[in-house]
Amino acid sequence: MQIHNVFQPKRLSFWESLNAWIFVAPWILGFLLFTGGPILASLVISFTHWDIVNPPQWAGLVNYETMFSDPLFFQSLKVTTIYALLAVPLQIVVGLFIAMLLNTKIRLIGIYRTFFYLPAVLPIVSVAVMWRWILSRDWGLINWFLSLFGVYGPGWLSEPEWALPALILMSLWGVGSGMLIYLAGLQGIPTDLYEAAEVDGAGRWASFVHITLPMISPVILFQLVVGLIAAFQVFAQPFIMTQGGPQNSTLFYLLHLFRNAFEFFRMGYASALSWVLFMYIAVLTLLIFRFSAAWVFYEGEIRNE
Amino acid sequence: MSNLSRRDFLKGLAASGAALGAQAAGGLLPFMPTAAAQDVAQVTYATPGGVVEDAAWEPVWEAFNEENDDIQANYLAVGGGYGPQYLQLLQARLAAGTGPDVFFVMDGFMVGFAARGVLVPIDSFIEASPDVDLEDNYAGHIEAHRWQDQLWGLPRDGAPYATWFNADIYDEAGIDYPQALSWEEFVAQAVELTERDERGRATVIGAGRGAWIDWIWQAGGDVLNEEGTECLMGEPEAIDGLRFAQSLVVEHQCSPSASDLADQNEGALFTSGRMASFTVARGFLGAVCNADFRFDAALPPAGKVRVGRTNVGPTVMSAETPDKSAAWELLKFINSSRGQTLKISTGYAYPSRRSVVQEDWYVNFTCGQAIGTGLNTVFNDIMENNWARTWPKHPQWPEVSTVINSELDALYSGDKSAEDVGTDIAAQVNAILSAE
Repeated sequence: MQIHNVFQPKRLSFWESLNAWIFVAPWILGFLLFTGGPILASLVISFTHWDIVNPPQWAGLVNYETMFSDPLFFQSLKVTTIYALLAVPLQIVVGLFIAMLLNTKIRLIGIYRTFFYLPAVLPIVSVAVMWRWILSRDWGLINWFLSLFGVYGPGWLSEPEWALPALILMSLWGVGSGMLIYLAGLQGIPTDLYEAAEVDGAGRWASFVHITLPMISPVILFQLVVGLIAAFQVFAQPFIMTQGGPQNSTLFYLLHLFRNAFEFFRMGYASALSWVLFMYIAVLTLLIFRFSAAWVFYEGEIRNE
Repeated sequence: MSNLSRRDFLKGLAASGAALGAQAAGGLLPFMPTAAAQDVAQVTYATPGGVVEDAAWEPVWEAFNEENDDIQANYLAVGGGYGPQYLQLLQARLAAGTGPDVFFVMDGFMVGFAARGVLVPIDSFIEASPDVDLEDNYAGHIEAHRWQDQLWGLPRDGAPYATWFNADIYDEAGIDYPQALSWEEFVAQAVELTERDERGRATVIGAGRGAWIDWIWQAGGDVLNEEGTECLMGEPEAIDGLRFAQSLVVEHQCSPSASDLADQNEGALFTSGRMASFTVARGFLGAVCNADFRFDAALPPAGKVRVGRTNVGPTVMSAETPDKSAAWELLKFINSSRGQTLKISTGYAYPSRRSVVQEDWYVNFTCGQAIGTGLNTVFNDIMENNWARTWPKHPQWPEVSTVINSELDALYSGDKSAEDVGTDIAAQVNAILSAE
């Protein structure tokens, strides 16, 4: 009997290769034309002054230098960073908490899971409009609830100190999509680990800390990185709900970029802003990966002690 | 199920490609002009559009196309509403080479387009057209189109601001209707009309905030100097205007706070019967006609100077239009008395031409629970007496206005004094002006 070495890649014939390339061609072409091309173009544009209508003029590093004298660049970076630092961990904690609640065998669990996931599929514009009402100072649901305890709630979207916390609070609305991924991770944990822990006398908290968290730490890492990137790309909520106000307290980075590109027609500066954002996210992501070895556990991984 | 061979798969792919190609070519054919169609110049007009606006323009195109055998006017509703989004969509079309020949642009943004070479100055076209009666247009509306001694467009309509008031609220409070009030009288009325509950929530708001620029002009100040090289918001007159604007919201609490406006804008506050008066353009009549209270329009309050804002609807010609004479014919028609009469047949918008304003149907226009003729006379009084000004004209105006709006947040919240807001605006705007 002839035994194939499954670990040695089989050399594809010409026709097989051609077929493969034909099947991946739409994606490759789409990427090159609609993603790769614009990415490269934006890099070149970032070294020019371009008002969209007239031909670009070479500007060298001027657009990058301009950022250092643009107070709104620092304000938008500060707002977005604070949002990311608070909203992403909050989404992870709440998402994981809900996933654990829904990782039980009770009746109608499918319906509960659907309910928690449903908000994540609603259009962001409708959600933003609805949240404007929920956050209304005078007639909103949150302030009505607070008033039951004798607390007069703030003007969530109209007071500079409350507007950003309100948007962070609102970010929990989409926690359902993360919850679904945690749920998949939780269901992948072998039950014999919990059984062994129980035999050893471990309580629920000890099981959570020593089994659940390590076993789903790759999922948490994934959610952290994806959540961070998404947080730095927040646009629709401030655009619809606050327009960056009051007093630039919700001037997110992409809103500042958008204004420069499409309201002030400074495409070169906007492109430079986008590349700085890319580098900022890349550095943060690299840092997360660099330190992930300390807290992320992969099944089958052999660590050198 | 049989397996598809590679040869069959590739044959199928090639056949599909050929079919798609044929479909695309066939699909394009109907759009290729025939010899007869090529004799007719195609001219496209763009505006934000919408259900109501599209219907309002319909008779204009019908009349124009009937009267011009050699020009076909096409209507392009770009979308985006009357805000920056419309400009973005328009800009994208212009950059892609598919821009309209003639288009509407918000007055604060027209100069920016002109400065970037997007528009054609129309002075030479006017000189060559004896049938254009510029004098029939209100002078203020024409001047809004002049920049660097050239005329860059003509108005399709105008929008002077006057004070709309809810007569039911005034009658209930036993207060005379507002008419050309002084600042002091305006505040006194608004305070008396305002009602708030124990939590400070407004059940009735005395008056709208008014356009911030109106208060500055009325105090004798301005935003920019005539040359557009310096910001004057730090000058004492401008600060007086800012101080008055702030006092309405913070000190007297008779105009809507940021929280009041977070739920409803001023127009919605007024039409829902929660605000006694509101200064805005004649076009607001379209909304107030459906209100379930009695209303009219009156002369707005005045400070040292009687002046208020007028918007205007610039109609401009693209520098890229291939047939400029055809585009000019359309632009001219849109500005003409006939064009404006057809467009404003609903009676809501305000014409830029005196002759249209003086037509019987317009003078006698009424709707809803209007109680008087102020809505037909006061706007004309404002324009004829030169009590209206248009937005400052500067290529960087969008950026300047963003700075101002951000600082106004701090003014209306009381977080900063009028002096600080004025000087901070001046510093930031001067930085923008000097950078360009």
